[in-house]
Amino acid sequence: MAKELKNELTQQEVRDIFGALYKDLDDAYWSATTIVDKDRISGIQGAVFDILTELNKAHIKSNTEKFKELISTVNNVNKRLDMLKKDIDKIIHKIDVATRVAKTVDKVLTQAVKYFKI
Amino acid sequence: MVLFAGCATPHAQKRIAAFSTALSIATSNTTDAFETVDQKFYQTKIALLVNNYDEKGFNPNTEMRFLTGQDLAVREELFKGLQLYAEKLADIMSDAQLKEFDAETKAFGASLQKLNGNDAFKNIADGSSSTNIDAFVTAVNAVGSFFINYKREKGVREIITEMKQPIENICNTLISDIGQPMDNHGAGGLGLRNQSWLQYDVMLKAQIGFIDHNAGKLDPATKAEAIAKLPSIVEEQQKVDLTLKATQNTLKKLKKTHDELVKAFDETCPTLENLIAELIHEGKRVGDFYKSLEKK
Repeated sequence: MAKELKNELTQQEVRDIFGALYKDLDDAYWSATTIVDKDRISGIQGAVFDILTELNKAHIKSNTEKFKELISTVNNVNKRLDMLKKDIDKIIHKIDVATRVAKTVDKVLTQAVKYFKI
Repeated sequence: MVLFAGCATPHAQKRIAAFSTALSIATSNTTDAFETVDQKFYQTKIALLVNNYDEKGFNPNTEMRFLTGQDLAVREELFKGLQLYAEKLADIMSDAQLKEFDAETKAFGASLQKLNGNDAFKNIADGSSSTNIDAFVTAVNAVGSFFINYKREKGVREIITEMKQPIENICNTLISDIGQPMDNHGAGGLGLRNQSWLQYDVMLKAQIGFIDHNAGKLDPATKAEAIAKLPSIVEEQQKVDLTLKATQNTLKKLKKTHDELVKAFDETCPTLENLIAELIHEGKRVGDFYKSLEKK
């Protein structure tokens, strides 16, 4: 069981292993005295750089998946804010209806007085 | 009654504005962070291509971009959603709807006054004095404002409290996107800062390789120019890392400003000073409304 767990490295552990290799190669590069040695070391370091780039990309990509879930949360909240605004608009609209009723009553009474003795 | 309903409004408006500003800064800085690292990745690939061309040539399938369109698009969509969240909060907590409500109650008062002046209406109902109608309309306005304030504060309080955790997760994930460079033993590196640090390192060695391989072929001025680039690469490496770190700080600040927003709604008028400020705020609004009726 413990052996199995040991075999499953986390993303960070993998990055650390290649990071350590990169640093060792870095030390070797700065210690090298010939162009040939420097070329050889930087060639290998280039390959490690490609691996670390892929690992950094994988990290960003795993975050992209988290963001996808968070986007739907934000979108839902924005919809709820829209609904809240609409609810408040309803209160305003109720006064608007009362105004229209008062205006209509005024209009009806003005017309009615011409035909009926009120 | 109106006072208690509008308790959080003045604080909330200020804090929503602060959150909105922090959001603009944080999202634009984060977008810049991604673009910078992606652009430098391209330049690193070009530097390697130039150095290795004689041996390896150019492979058109070489990936020249660090990020995929989807990674950027998802983050862009998230930023737009957050911007919309801040705009909607500001919209609801602004005085726009209360002003609209004032205008509607004013129109309602005018209609009642007109109806009161109608001869037929006078005959069928006991006429009310115009002062009574103004007092009635002011009361309608005060009660309506109370409901508007109550409804929006209750609704907004619930929403921003629920958003506390998602905002924290968003900021933490963006901070993790930016990550950190590896230490001296190669440990702990991740994200944009790690990538950026490595890219400059590769660019530096590519430049050294270029100088070494062409030492005898370069004229003194070109050689001097190529050598002068070396310290500037190291300097830029450090500056970009500090900028990325500062971007992480703006994200921490964003988290904090949203927390402050939550607090604005948690506070139930804790100090006398706040009570007085709110009393003046709401009292002035009602007073102005009443005066506006008298002037018509």
